[in-house]
Amino acid sequence: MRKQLSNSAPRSDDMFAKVVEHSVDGLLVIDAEGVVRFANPAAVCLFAGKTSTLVGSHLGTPAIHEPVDLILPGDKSTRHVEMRSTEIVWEGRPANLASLRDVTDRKRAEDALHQQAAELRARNDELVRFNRATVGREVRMVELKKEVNELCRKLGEAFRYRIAEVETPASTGTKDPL
Amino acid sequence: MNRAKLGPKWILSLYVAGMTPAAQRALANIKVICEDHLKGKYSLKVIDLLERPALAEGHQIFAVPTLVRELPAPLRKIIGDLSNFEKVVVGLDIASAAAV
Repeated sequence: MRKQLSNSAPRSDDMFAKVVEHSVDGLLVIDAEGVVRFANPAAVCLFAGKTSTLVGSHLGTPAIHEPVDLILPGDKSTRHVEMRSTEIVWEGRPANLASLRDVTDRKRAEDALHQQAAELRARNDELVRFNRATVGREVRMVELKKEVNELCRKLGEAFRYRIAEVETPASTGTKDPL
Repeated sequence: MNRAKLGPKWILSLYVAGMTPAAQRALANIKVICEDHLKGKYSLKVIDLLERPALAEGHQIFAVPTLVRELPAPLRKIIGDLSNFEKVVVGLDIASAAAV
C-alpha cells in the first residue's frame, strides 16, 4: 500500500522541474567561473540566435545588488531583460541563480513615451517662441505709431493712427505659458 | 618605474550597447574598483556594440554590460552593473592574480 502511494504521488523533484520548465522568466544557473550550468526553456528562448547551446556558454558572473536591465544584442532583434541574481549551491559548488524577465515591450513603450514627450516639449517651445515674436512685433508697431502721432502733434497735424491698446503679458500680469 | 615591481598588466574591456544607466553605473563602479586594487597597472577600454557590433563575436558577448578580463589569463567575464564589488573582485580574481 505504501509503495503504491509513493509511486502514484508526484515526486517533489518532478514538481519543481515542472515549475522551472514552465516559468515565463528565464532561469540560469551560472557557476563561479561564469559558465552556464543550467538554463530553463524561457532562458534558452531569450538567448535564441546568440548561441546554439546556452548550457556550457561563458556568459559571465553576475555582479549586481539590485535588479539590472541588461541588453541582449542580436542581429535581428535586441532584447531587454531585467536580471536578478542570488547565490545558491549547485551540485555541491557555489553558483549564482539568475532570473531574467523579458522587458523588451515595456522598454519600447517607455522609449515611445519619452520620444512623444520630447516632441511635445519641442512643439511647445516653438509655440512660445512664435507667441513672443508676434506679440513683440505688435507692441513695437504700436510704439512706432505713437511716435508718429507724437511727431504729428508737434507739427500741428492730425494724428495719422488710431491706436487700440494692445494687451501685453506685462500689462495683464500673465506669464509665458511655459 | 620598474614594471616588474608592479606585477602583470591588467587589460579590461567593458562591453556596452550605448551608455544606458546600467552601463554608466558599470563604468563608474569598475573605475573605482580598478583605482582601489589595480592602480597604475591596468588599462580599461569601453567597447560600444552599437558602434562596433562585430566585436561581440570575439569574446562571445551574450549580454551587456559585460566586463571582460583579457589579461592576465585566463579570460574572465562579469555581467551586470558591477555594483556588487565583492563579486567583481572575486570574479576577476584580483587577489590571487595580482599576487603573481
